[in-house]
Amino acid sequence: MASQPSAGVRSTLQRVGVVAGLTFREAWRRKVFLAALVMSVGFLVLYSLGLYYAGREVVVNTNGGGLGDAANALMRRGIAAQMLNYGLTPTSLIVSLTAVFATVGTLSGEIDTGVLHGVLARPIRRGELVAGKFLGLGAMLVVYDVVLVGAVSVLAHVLVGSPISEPVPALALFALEPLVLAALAILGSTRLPTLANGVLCTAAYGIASVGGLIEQLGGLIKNATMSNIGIVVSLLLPADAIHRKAASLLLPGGLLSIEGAVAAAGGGVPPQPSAAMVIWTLVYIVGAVVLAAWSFKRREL
Amino acid sequence: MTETSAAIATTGLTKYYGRKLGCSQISLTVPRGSVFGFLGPNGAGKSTFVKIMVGLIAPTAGEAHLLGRPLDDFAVRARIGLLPENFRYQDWLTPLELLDFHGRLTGLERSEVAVRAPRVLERVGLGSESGKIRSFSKGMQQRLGLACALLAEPDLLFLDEPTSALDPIGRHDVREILVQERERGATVFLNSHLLSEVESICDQVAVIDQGKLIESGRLADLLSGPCEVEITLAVPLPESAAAEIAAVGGIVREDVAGRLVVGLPAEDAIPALVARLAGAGASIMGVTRRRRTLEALFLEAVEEAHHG
Repeated sequence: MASQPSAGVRSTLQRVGVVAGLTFREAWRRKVFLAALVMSVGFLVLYSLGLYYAGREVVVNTNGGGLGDAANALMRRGIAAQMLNYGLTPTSLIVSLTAVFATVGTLSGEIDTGVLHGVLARPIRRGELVAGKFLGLGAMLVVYDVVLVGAVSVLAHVLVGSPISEPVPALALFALEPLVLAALAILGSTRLPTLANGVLCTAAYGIASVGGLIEQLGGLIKNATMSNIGIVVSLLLPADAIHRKAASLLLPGGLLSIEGAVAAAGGGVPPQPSAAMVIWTLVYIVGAVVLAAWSFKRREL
Repeated sequence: MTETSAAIATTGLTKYYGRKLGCSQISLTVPRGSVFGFLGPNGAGKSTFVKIMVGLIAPTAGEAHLLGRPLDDFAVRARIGLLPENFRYQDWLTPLELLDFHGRLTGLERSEVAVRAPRVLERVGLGSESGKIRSFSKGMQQRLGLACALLAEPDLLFLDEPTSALDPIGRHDVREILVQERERGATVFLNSHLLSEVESICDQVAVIDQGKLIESGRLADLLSGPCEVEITLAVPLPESAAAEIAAVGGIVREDVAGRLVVGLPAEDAIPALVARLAGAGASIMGVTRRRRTLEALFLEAVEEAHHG
C-alpha cells in the first residue's frame, strides 16, 4: 500500500502550488509573454512563407536532371530537414530570451517593490516560494516552447515534407532549454538587480551558443581541443547542448546537408550531446533551483 | 510554553547591516492582549525590529519569542498578521483574489477564505471595491493591507505606520478596528509616528532611538508623576498663598495677569492645593490640569538620549 504524504509535505505542496498558480497567471498576463506571442505569430507567418517558396524551388530543382528519383527524393528530404533546422534555431532564440526576460525580475523585482514583505511574513518557507515561482514560470515556458516548436515542426513537415523522427521525446528535451535559463535567471534573481541579472543571463545564453558552435566545428574538423572547450561550456550552461540533443531526436540522423557534405569530403561528424548531457541538464535545473532557494533564504529583505 | 506567555519577548536583540547598526540590545516584553506603541524618530530602528519579528531579516545577536515560540518556529507565522510600511501587492489582482492568495498561504481553506474575505473587506471600508488593485488610491491600498493582516484573525498584529496614507476618517476607522482587535484578545504592535494616535489607543509604549531602547512601560505610568495645574484667578493671589502652595510641594512656574501655573509632585495633590488656596482667600475662577503628553515624553526621552 502506498504511504500517504505527511501533513507537513501536503502543506508544503499546497503552498508551492498556491505560489505556482499565481505565478502562472501572472506570467500569462505579463507583457513579456504577450510580446513573445505576437512576435512568434509574426515569425511563424514569415517562416511559412519561406517554406512555401523554398519548397516549390526544391521540387523544381530536384526533379529530373542526372540524378535518379531515389537520389532526388533523398536530396529533397535532406533539404527539408535542413529547413526545419533553420526554423528551430530562431525558435530557440525566441524561447530562450523569453525565458530570461520573464524570470530575471521574479524575485528581485518583488523585493524592490516590497510585494514579498507581506508574502514572506506568511507561513511559507523561502524555498517553497522559489519552487513555486519556478514551477509557475516553468509551466508557462514549457507550454510556450512546446507550442512554438510544435508549430515550426508541423509547418516544415506539411509545407516541405520535413521528416520528423521522434517528436515526443524531442519536444520534451526542447522544453528543457528554457527551463535551464529560467533556473539560472531565478538563481541570479535572488542576489542581483533585475537589469544586471538580465544582462548576465542573456550573455550566458550567447556564450553557450558559441560554445555549442565551437564543439560542432571541432567535431567537423576533428579538433579535440575545440570539442572539449564546447563540452565544458555546455556543462556550465547546457541550454544549447540540450537544444542540439532535441534537434537530433527530431531530425533523422545524417539528413543535414552540411553534415553529409563534410562527411563525404572526409571530414568528421558534428557530435550530438549524449544521454548523460540530458541527465546533467536535469541535475543542473534542479541544482540551480535548490541553490536559488539556499541563496534566497540568506537574503535580507 | 503556555498561552499566558508574552506576545513578544526579546532579550538583547541586536542587528547590524554590515557595520551599520540597525538595533542594539533590545529587550522588550509585550503582554498579550495589549496595544503596544513603538515610537522613534526616522531611522531609529523601528522597522528593523518589525522585520526581525516577522522573519524578513535575521538578528545578529539576541533572542526573541513570539506568542511563546522562538522566532524560527515556522508555525507561529500562521498566527501573525503584518501590515508592512511599504504596502505593495500584486496590483493585477482584485482584493478578493489577493485575500484568497494570502489566506491560502496562511493555511485557510478556500471556502473559509471565501466567507472571511468579503467580511474583512467590509470591515476596512473596501466592501464595494471589486476592481483591480492597481486602480486603488494609496489609502485604499493601505486599507487592503490591513485587511490582509486581519484575514486570518491573528493573535499578534504588526502594523508599521498603518495610517500613513489615510485621511482623518480612515485614521478614525483604523483606530476603531484596533480597539476591536484588542477586545477580541489580539495583541497589536503599532509602529507609528503619530503620537496622538498612539496615545489614544496604546496601553504600553516603548521609545527607540539610534537603535537603542530608551524608554518603555505602561503609558499611564509614563505619563503620570509630576504634573502642572493652571489656575485662573479673579484677583491677584494674597501673599499668604505662597506658603499654601509650598505646603503641598508645589512650585510656582508662572503668575501673570490672573493666570497661575503651579508644578506639583503628583496629580493627587491638586485637590489639596485648590482647597488650601481657597482657604487662603484666593478667588479661583477655574482649574485646568496640564497633562504630560506622549509628545512631551517622547521629545524628552529622545533629547536625553542624544545629550546624555
